[in-house]
Amino acid sequence: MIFPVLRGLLSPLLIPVTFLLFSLNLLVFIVTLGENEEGDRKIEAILSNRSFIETQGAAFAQMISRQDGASVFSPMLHQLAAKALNGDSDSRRLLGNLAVRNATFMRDAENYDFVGDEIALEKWRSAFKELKSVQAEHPTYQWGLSRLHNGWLQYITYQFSHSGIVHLFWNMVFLLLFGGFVETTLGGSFVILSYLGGGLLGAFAYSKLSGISSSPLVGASAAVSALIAFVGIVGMVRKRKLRFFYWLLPAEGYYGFAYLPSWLVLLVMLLPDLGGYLAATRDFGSVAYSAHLGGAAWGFAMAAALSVGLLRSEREKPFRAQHSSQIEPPGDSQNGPKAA
Amino acid sequence: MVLEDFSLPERGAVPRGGSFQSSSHEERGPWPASPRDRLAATVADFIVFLPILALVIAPFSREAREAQILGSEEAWSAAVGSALAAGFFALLVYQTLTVLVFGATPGKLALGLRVVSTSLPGGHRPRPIEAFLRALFWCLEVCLLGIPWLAVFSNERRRPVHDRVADTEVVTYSKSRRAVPAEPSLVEMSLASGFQSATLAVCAMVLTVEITRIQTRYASLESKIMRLEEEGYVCPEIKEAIDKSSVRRLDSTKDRLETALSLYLSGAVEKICVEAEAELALWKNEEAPLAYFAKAVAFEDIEKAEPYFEKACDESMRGDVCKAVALIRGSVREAEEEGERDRDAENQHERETLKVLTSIDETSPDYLRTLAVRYLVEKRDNESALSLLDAAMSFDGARDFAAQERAKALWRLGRKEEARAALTSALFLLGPEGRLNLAQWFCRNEVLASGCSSESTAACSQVREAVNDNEAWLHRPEIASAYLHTVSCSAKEESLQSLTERLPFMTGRRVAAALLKAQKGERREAVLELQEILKGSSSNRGVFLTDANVLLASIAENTDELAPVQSAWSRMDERSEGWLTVGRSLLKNLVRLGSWDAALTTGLKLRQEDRFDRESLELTLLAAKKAGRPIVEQTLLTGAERRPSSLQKRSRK
Repeated sequence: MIFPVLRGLLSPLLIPVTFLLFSLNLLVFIVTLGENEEGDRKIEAILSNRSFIETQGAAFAQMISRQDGASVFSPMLHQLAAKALNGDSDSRRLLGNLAVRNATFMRDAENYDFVGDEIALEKWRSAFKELKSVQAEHPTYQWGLSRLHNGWLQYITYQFSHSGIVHLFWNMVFLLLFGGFVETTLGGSFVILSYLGGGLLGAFAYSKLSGISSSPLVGASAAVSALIAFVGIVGMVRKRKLRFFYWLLPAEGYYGFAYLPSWLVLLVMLLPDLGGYLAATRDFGSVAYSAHLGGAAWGFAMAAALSVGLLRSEREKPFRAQHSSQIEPPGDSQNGPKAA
Repeated sequence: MVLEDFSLPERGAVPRGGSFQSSSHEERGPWPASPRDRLAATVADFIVFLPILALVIAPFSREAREAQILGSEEAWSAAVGSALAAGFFALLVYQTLTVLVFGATPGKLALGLRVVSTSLPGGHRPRPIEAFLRALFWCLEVCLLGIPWLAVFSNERRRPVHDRVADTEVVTYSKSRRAVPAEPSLVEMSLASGFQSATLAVCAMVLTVEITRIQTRYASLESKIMRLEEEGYVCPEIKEAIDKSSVRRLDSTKDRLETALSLYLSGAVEKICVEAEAELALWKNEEAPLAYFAKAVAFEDIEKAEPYFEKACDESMRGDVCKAVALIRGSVREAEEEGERDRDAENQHERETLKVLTSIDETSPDYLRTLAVRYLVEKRDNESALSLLDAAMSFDGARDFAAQERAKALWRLGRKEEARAALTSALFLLGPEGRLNLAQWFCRNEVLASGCSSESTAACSQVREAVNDNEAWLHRPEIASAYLHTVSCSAKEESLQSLTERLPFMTGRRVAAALLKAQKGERREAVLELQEILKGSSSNRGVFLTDANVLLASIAENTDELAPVQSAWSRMDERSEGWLTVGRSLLKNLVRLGSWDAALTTGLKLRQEDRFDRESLELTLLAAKKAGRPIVEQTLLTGAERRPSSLQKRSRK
């Protein structure tokens, strides 16, 4: 196992910009926590109703089967629908759960002319209406990027909203590590540029590669991916090492800290995203790999710009492989840009 | 620090000069690398290779997941197989190329190890063929879960199989990190290679077994998949029934629904089969009324079912579905009124359902006739039930049902000889569970009605055989009770004694104890025991309670001893079969004890519920005469003839 520690977690005085971003993320999470939980609870109550899911599955299957060709619904959905209509209850339940994520269904189902068990359909319709109204008020749907809300505001706000404490935790850890590193070496403006630019390009890539669905896109992962890619590539170009923690065996000497080549960052943290994207099934999956890739592309672009001189750091302090964990004395920050 | 700090001078180039055989070898190296370092290097390689592997496997993993979702086993196996093959190939390429180009894999580089060729002097990098062979065997060893790596301990130069095959060796140039075996330990070496060979042998065997198992499973899986696709996921019993019938078709929604209903109502399939068929029909928008009815029937909760009943029949009361709905509503309404029974309302419902029943005949679909028979049996109109049953039912499940109900109906009507004949032919026809059910019913009823006799032995012997085969049957209360009667009739004290411990029901055990006492002649103790049982039981149902009541009635010697039975009987639900059994026994024994008034009251109550029992009629007439109530006599006689059954008339045509 290897884990990048770079310069470690630094104090807010040294990395104010990064800390600002961190606080924004944390603040949004805390503020929306209550509403989030309540909304989740209501949605869970509706979706855990077995007959609701089964009716919804049959309805979705009907909608899919009436659609010719594979343009609107993927071939796999068509196959599932055929099985469901033929009596397979597993496929039916699966479709019932998938329906909530399918933008076409969520948009059209309310007024669609379904033919089937009238009594069950009545109950389903009222529950479905309730589901939509709960979604409209749910913070994740308001902050995140989905078919319901896809204005330009959402392209920015989605980066500060998270789907759970674990999601938030890991994103913030890497934000503080990599963002802190960039800020202390190149300056705060690079951090902001990476973060927001990565978030925007990530959302854009997501909308083009995966398509905006009815499940909202949330998280700072794309933005953080940009930071990671930026660090990795600049380090590679400048042939510098980065500080890692490694653990190979539970024997002394086989774990500890070391300075390892920068390309390891890309290999270990970004290549899995590419693999995940290629392996992801359409309509399934809860990780938006395409957004990560978009963010990483932005980081790559920024690194290229830095290398050819389009971007310049006023700190003029290149990456240095330091063998101690000492940071530059505070006086140096006078030369850098005025960090926000 | 184990991992090299790469800012130190580059050590990639292998130093020339000095072969392995040189005397200064000891001072200058290279030395064999320690296995622990090699292990750490493998771990580091794993960290580096994993993302690459994920990338290579990605497209197959997607296919596999899709196949899994669609439930397609062959596609899944194909995808997983391809993924494994691709992974193997990627690992092979990784190992070969890195060793060729850098002289070591990234993990080994990080630990400062190198792979050198032993066929060339001077610690050269391996030749391409050597690198390839080494990588190939290394990957094969991975497939065997790395067990063959233990061979690294089998020789001093720490060369496992893949090193020896490829003429290579893993070395380090750092003296402090070299492998230091104490002495060429024969034990160590033989253990390592022996263990390795043993593991390989076991793996080979396991692999062979697995492959054969997969092949056979695949063969049956294939046919199973084909069958399921054909049937469209219907329950197999339904498909069998339709196959056996010459007129029904599997692709006709109506046929499937009717078959499912008829099998479910006769107890041959679970309700999920009916549910599935109903859903299928509804969403295809075919046979909507019948489908709504089928769905309603599958509900256990009458409130949920009611809207479906309404949708099934919302026009005038015509059509088979509407008749079926009327029948179910008729029997449900009665079941609802647990407290005071509203006789007028009941009679009204009865007349309505009677109208429906008259229109049912041999041409009605099986499910409707099954429903009608069940309704009639519930209402204790066994004659009409019998006439419906006489016409053949087309499905196996319904045929079994018809055979059982015929025998039982004949018995209830008091036509005992015919009933016994029907029992014999039914036992021949039925499957094991049906046989046991019918045998148990007859055994109990024969014994409870007329004590142990040769007639009861026939049915009871079936019960005894079944229980001796598989004692688990005793966990069903009716079967346990039937077995108890069988044993008590055989008059073997030890068997009865053992039952007082073996029976899984407490009341049953106590009844067995009472029976034992009675057989031993301890009549008074038996009576006391039975009175205790009757007093103590909180519910007024239960198989063993009926047994206790009947037993007490038959051994009581005065009306005081009989009193608990009378009060227990008054608490029982008149619609249950137990009520009838206990009532008849009570009547018989009250007449035996000469308690005419009580007998008359009991008899009259029985007559209200059970119109056609000749024996009870005669006993009640006798009681009426002895009690000096001739008017009652008249009413009873004329009442018996006057009560119409339009069904009965019709069947005589």
